[in-house]
Amino acid sequence: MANFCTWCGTALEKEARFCTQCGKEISEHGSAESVRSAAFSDKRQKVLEGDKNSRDKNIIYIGLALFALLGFMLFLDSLPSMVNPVVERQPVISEPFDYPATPVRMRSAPVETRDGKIIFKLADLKKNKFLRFDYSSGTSTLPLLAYISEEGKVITAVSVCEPCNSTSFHIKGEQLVCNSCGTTWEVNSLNGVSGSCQKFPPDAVPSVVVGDEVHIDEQAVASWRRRI
Amino acid sequence: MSLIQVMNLVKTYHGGGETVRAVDGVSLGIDIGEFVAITGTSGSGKSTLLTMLGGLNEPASGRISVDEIDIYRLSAEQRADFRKEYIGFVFQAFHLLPYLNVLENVMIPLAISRLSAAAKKEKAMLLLEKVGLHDKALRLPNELSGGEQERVAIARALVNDPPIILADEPTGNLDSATSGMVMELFSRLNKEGQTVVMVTHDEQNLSYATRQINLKDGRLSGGCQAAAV
Ligand SMILES: Nc1ncnc2c1ncn2[C@@H]1O[C@H](COP(=O)(O)OP(=O)(O)OP(=O)(O)O)[C@@H](O)[C@H]1O
Ligand SMILES: [Mg+2]
Repeated sequence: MANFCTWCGTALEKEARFCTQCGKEISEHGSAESVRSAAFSDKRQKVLEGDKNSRDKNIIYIGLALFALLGFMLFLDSLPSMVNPVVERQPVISEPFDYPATPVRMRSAPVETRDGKIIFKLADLKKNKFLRFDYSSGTSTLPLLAYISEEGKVITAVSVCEPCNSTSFHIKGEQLVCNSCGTTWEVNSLNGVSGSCQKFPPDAVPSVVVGDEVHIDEQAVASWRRRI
Repeated sequence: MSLIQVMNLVKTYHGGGETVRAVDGVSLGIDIGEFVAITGTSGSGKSTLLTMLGGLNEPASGRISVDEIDIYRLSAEQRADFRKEYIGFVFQAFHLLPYLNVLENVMIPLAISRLSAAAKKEKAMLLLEKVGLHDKALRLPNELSGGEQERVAIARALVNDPPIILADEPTGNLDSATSGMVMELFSRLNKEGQTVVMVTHDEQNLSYATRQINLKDGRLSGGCQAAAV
């Protein structure tokens, strides 16, 4: 089987670990998706029905899936555990929960700036899980986002994926996804999972819960600079 | 692998002594549950790409696999089965048959299914309910508004439970309020897990998509892919 990047399609050397075009890690994806595609195995069977080779092919596919799974597990094992220091210290506001497999989109929320804090309502966050709002100071405006991680933490961040200049994201399962380039990061840690902009998750900024409000340090946002 | 995997796809058309490379080396992956908007100027190859994704238009070279099936290596018969099982098409011109009522139009793709007549009818009715038209099941298409006709076309596209919907400018003929309703319907289906790939010119529609892909002269342009090079 030809080796190629399943995200952008670029043909790659057999041993390649990263796509030379988009930077996606290669060893990781085959696995998760081939397990998922079994969702339509009924339909697949119907289409391939009558094809003499289909049985043999299935055995090959199962073999490949197992092989990819093994590769994926080895890959997971070899990952250094990365900790985002801002995310690490964020307050917990709810019980752990799971995001659905269908996309959860950003909802815009009212926000105000007072006493050096950017403030939004905790109730808005609890209701919608994923918020998007703007911080404006004088001439410039910076998009911000807030969501609840699956661990129940409030995560606040600058809502920009610099390589593709996207400012909008959605959450799907345990991943945060860039609406423009499809890069994914873990919702709990903001560590990159797949896609070309993994090194540039929304940049987390610290916040605290005060009564029924969430306060983001205005200074941290005002002094934020693009990473590239 | 992604649900839809496109690898180095090329389509050429020959006419008037010239060769047009309508799609010129496109590679991309689309995952289950995505809502992908394909944009690009007129003639950039959007419709050509979409029909190739749906197994309707054989590429000159390159490969498309859907659910790990290499669709252009199937026999013609298998490919027809593939379209029936995996793909729901929605076009701008709704292709409703004028002499059949709404319910019968939705039932067309079930003609070759093994379901009983009653089961077919029930299934079509449920889908009409899903798109909010069950009370108009017995009308003829020309007794419906443009947006309603489009929703009938969507119900028909869904009748074989395809995991993928391919739509070519489904709101192209509709005013903005009506197209808003049609887009809400697509968005709801997508949230229920349906993978949607939609060609659209309409800025207003892009906000419903989870990813936008831009074609220029038959090639992908913009986005992260360009930025990462
Ligand atoms: N059947 C055909 N025979 C010859 N040339 C074709 C055929 N279909 C498309 N083309 C050419 O291929 C190119 C891409 O056409 P395509 O219909 O894919 O564009 P499009 O992006 O869908 O445009 P539009 O916005 O008008 O719908 C154009 O140059 C077109 O003229
Ligand atoms: Mg077209």
